[in-house]
Amino acid sequence: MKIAVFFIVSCTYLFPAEFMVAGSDSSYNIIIHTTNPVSELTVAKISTYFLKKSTKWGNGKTVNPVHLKRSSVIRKQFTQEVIGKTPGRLETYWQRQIFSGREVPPLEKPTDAEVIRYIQETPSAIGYVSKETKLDTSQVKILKVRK
Amino acid sequence: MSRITRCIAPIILFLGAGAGFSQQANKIHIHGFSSWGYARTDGNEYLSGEESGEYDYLDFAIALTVKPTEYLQIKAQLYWNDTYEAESSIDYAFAEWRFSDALRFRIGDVKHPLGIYTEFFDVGTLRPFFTLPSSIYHDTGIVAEGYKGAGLTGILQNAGGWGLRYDIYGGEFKMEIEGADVTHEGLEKTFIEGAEEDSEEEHHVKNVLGGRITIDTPVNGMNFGVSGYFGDVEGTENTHSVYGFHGELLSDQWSVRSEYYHHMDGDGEHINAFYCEASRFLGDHWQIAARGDQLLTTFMKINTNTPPSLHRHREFAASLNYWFNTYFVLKLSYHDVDGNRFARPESLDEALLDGALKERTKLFLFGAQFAF
Repeated sequence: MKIAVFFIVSCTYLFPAEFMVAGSDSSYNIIIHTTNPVSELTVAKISTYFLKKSTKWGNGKTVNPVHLKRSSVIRKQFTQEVIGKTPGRLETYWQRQIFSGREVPPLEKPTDAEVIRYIQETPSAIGYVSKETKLDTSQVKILKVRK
Repeated sequence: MSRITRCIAPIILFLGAGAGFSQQANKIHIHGFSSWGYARTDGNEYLSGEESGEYDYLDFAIALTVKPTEYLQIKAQLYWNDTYEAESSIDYAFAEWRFSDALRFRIGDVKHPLGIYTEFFDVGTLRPFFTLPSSIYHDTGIVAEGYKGAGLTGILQNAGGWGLRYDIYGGEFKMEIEGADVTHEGLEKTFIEGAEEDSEEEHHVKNVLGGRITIDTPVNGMNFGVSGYFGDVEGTENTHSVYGFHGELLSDQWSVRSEYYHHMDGDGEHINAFYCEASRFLGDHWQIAARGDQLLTTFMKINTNTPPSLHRHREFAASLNYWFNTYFVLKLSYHDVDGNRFARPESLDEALLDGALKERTKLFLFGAQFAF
């Protein structure tokens, strides 16, 4: 048992989780529907939503994560900082989920405007857009993210 | 179904369902994968390889997921293999009702949850070698591609980064076991009487109960677990049981995987199978990989006079891969095999009678694997 604990602790340092807090220095805002009672989430929780390991909000509604298109620089940053995987590893993760008959990847939208529109139309959605995109907080809610 | 129909069916499915339809409400998802390979050995036949070289390895599959409602998913995968003779099959077709993340009910023909690779058995873009380790994933009687029956599955997540994934299932397996005749009375009969050799046997294992538990650790990409099952071999009074463990460590550059299984059947046949494989990316496209793989068969009740090499498989393999991206890869591998459990001459009878059984086999394999 001691050996197992030592091994896991050692690996934590050798293969650190690549989580960073999507805080003031991140280049995206994480957004949800205005009627969603949640206002703050941890990076780990958001990651489980986008990996579909958790599929329910606290109120029991199904989470509908939405990604930007694969070529998006913002998506790449979000994937590395919040989900903790490189884009390649994330695609491999989804191949594994698909072909084992477990899950399918989240919806993708080509632009920030499309993501915002989807969030407005879908009360249980969660997505992210560039910080440079102006957001009307009467239309979407910006999530506070903590470690 | 004719060969042409088998070839055209997936295209019709793809075009008929339509990518646009799949995007319409995120309700229908269509994916697929394929492999083609060339294999050549220095004598024995092994995997799809033979001494003169073989271009025939070819397979293709299409996977469909339909979500009619929020809680219901219907999943199916159709598989075509043209390696030896054209064959098509349903890899899985089942319905899943999601009560919660921790509890999902599955019924139908479901992918067999055992160890690491069984649920994506033929998907080449999810592994570093063109083929899976023979000791466990060849037709050894350890893994079945699917079970017909019902099961429960789910994920339990912990805020500290720990997670638990589980599967419990019951039903029936159908599994091909290569060499089953040889490892029992069949070989002696074959050897003595010169009877027609039939080294592949289909076993039905009924009343199966099984499960798998995988622990996700706070270490990014590291998990380990145990799995196993037991059931009754149809037409006999024998039981068929398997248990073992698996572990994975996946990072951006590295992947390390290992599995061990012990298989027992009522005839007193015991199989111990183990492999360890590691791979590393050198930059964005090139990947190197190495694997050690071993299977040993022992008989507790039957006193076989067959050559020990027929019960043994030891393999070292190395691979050099070029990944265009995560969906398309070229693989070149070299395999050095000791033993004749899977690597055998075209005519085993003649080789045994002539005393010319070659215990070592070298295999070169080159191929492309892709998915969408």
